[in-house]
Amino acid sequence: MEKPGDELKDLFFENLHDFEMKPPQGLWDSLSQKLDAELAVGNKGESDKVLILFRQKFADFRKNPPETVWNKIEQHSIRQNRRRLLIFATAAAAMLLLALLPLRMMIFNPVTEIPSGLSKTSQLSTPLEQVVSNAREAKAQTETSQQRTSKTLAMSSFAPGSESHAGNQPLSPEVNKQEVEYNAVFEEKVNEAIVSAETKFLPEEKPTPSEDRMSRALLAARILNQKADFELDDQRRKEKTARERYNVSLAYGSVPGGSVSATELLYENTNVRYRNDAFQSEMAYQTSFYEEIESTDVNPPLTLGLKLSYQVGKRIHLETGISYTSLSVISKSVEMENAYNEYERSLYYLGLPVGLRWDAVSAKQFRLYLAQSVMIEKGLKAINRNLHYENNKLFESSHFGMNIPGFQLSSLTTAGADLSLYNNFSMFGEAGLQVFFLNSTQPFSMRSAKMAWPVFQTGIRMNF
Amino acid sequence: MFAPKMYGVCLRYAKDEDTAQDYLQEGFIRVFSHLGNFRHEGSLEGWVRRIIVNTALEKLRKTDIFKNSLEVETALNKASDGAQVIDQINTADLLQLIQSLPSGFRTVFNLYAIEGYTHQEIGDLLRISEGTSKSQYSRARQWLQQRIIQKEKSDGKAR
Repeated sequence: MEKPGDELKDLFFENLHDFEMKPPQGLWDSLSQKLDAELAVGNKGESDKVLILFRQKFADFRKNPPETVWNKIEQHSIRQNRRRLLIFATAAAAMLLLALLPLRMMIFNPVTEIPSGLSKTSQLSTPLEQVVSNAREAKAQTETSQQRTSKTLAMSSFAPGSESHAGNQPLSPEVNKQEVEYNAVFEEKVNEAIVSAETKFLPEEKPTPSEDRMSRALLAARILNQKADFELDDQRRKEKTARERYNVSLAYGSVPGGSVSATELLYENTNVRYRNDAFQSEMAYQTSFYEEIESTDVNPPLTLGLKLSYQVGKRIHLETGISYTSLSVISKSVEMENAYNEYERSLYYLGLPVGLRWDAVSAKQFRLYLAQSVMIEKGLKAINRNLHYENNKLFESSHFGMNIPGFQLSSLTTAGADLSLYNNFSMFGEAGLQVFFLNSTQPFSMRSAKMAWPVFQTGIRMNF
Repeated sequence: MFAPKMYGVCLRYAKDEDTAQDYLQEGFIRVFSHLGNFRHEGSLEGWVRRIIVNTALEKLRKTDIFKNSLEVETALNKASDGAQVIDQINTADLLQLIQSLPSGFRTVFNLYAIEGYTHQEIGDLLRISEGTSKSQYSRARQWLQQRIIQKEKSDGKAR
């Protein structure tokens, strides 16, 4: 059974449920004004008249800045462009110089040709070298004659009298004659060498014939011994030089000290150059264009390298190799309602350094050197992590990888010391300055924040 | 377009016009170099204003902005607090008063009274405690009130 009250309810419901009426004109304006007035007072209390006064007076305060400000901004922009141009020009010049230097060394330092008409002997510097060289020439001629003799013997079926061929049979009289001739040539050459050496080494007073024979015999023996020693030393020296022309080094590098946190590393800093990729844009959006970033911590980079160097001059080595670098940056947002975010980005680079090393001091056990190189690096991968903390506990996290386009160019200037350890192994340490260019093509890292960073490298070098 | 308004902001945070011009210059260089980061999702004026304010705060943070607070505190203790604030005082005079505030008071007063930040937010921005922000604001307010009254009295005598 239907109650009488329900009819009344239905009546109102049917007539007023979808009832619409336009509000009176000016209602929203008056509401807006009231809200503004309340906002002006806000939570600070109606008694805070100083606050209200200042808010009202400065709500729309404006003043034209002087023209000089715009001139300064323009000048700053021009200066920055010039500086960028200078940096690129310097980097290009350094690369060109490094590329041309080995070429220049090859063109202007050809292998020394001995002019015809001059024997090698005449170019030797010391008398002893001349003597030995003469003796060597004589020996070479003798050996050639012996080879010819052997060849003759080999061609003939019978070679009686020979001790070294055809079953110890003696040589024929003709062959014996040849050998005697060649021995005479050898003896003559040795005598010439001895006489030559005597005139330079021995006292001018004439010895007796017996003394003369004795001294000649001793000198001949000495020359032959010295010749052997000299040749051995020469051979060793050449082998050693050839061996040490190449060396391989394994290096570990980093920036001294711990993590870096400073206002100059802020994303919105004027001097910072970096690429705005998807992760960066998302981070900018979430942090009100970096205004809610509380701190940016840059972990020390880790560099591992393999270097190969080749000696191109007396003290100059051409160096190249491969290097692997890992960089990491963590930015923390401002804590609001006990929650904050951390944006972590890890970058991995593979680099190709090319440079020159100059030995300033070269001793038996150690050497001091200066090195200059340029390095081109290609980013292998960027790993981006977004960590959300609530009440200082990790609440949520996500991560994704990203390719790094473009290249990073840098110039590395170092001074180092190399200490010999054992045999061909030595330990080295280098310290210097690395300047990074083309930073605007790369994701944010310590390199974007500051172009120049100190570097320290240490490792093991092997000479071979 | 925003330059006069932003210059006004800088004038409030700086102790003089030269410093304000430095803030404006540095701020606009940042605006121009990061214009590509603006995503057109909010007000451009708001974005520019935040950069300008942040620039000013960054510069102020580099100096010890609270170093003169103690001297002012002593002066405030002697001041009377009974007079009424006069609404008719002009903006140029108020600006002069703000600029004459010690940098710590000035910064906190600007952020709280004019920009509308809470004391907690100011604490985060300036890396100070919420209590410090409150006390700095309270003293700045008291200091300004006293100066306004003095000015009103001297203006009244002049008339």
